Amino acid sequence: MSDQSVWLLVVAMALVTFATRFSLFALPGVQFSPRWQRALGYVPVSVFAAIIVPMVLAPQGGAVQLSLSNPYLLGALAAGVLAVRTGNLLLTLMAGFAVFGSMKWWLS
Amino acid sequence: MENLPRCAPAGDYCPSSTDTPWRLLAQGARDTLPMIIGAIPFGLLFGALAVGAGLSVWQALGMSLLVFAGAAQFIAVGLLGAGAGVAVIVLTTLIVNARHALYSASLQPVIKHLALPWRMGLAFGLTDECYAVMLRRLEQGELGEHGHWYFAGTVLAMFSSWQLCSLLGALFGQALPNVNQWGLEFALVASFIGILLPMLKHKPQWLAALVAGGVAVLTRHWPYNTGLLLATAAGIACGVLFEMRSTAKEPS
Repeated sequence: MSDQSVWLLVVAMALVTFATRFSLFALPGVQFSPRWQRALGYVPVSVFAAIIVPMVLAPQGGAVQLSLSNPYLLGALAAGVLAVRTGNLLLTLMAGFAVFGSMKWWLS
Repeated sequence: MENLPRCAPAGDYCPSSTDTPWRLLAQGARDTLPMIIGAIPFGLLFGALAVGAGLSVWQALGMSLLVFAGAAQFIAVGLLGAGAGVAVIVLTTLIVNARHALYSASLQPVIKHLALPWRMGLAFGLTDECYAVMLRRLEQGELGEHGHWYFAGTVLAMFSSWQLCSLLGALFGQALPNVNQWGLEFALVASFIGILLPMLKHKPQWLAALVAGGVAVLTRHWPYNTGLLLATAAGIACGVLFEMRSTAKEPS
């Protein structure tokens, strides 16, 4: 991506982010309907899952690898266990990295 | 009755004359400290990954300064590395940050009496972390008429630490040109897992995540990552439908 496109991207991201945060600060008398609140509540889990799952199951845009020789899958499992057990981000990162890194090294 | 304090319930937070704007600003900043510590690895990682994905140090810092939204910044870097176009990244940013509209709805009572520049400034800083700090503080009782200074304190503290960490991470990434071969792309996966899994508390959320993930795998070869948008929409729709069905079944 060219420098110009990157800055365009940064400014556009800044504008849409500000728009979501300012939305109901701009209109102090307005509230969301329960239906919208419910839908918005599912946004984060859906977006994050849509991003992670392909990165883990089909690393680097390749074919689906549902096998134990897929370092991304094993690393993700390790990170997942720590995330659920501890809720600690740093431990999650380290566990995932340790498994991912040692598998890559083992396979290379 | 004259001698009774104005805020009677014991243990409740009592706005008092000592709550000057400066004190509130400092309190807000101090209460944000745990969030700052949690965000340090993210900030460093963002800077390093952004440089690894081909951004200059200035571009990485510029994104942190102007966008100031950790999750969206991470996603942008991941999508940049995958070759996505500007439009898809901006649309994804909009979707990822749509939750902030909910935050702004819930904090309306604190800001509704303020002038436009104040409301704009606080809206700019309405990150997940600052929202969490505000929620916790509001659970302890009313903030009083200077409450927006507390809000400003959390925003300023979070903002400055995020900039510092992004800059350090970017400089680190620049100093080590091979940083993108260290498997840092996996760090992105691991940190997203660390964000996502604690959010999955109920069945409809699990369903939304499974559907979104499955559709994303099936549509991963769509141009410019447009499959991501369909996958997200599918996840939201399934979560909402499942929740409506299960609440309809058990009349309260």
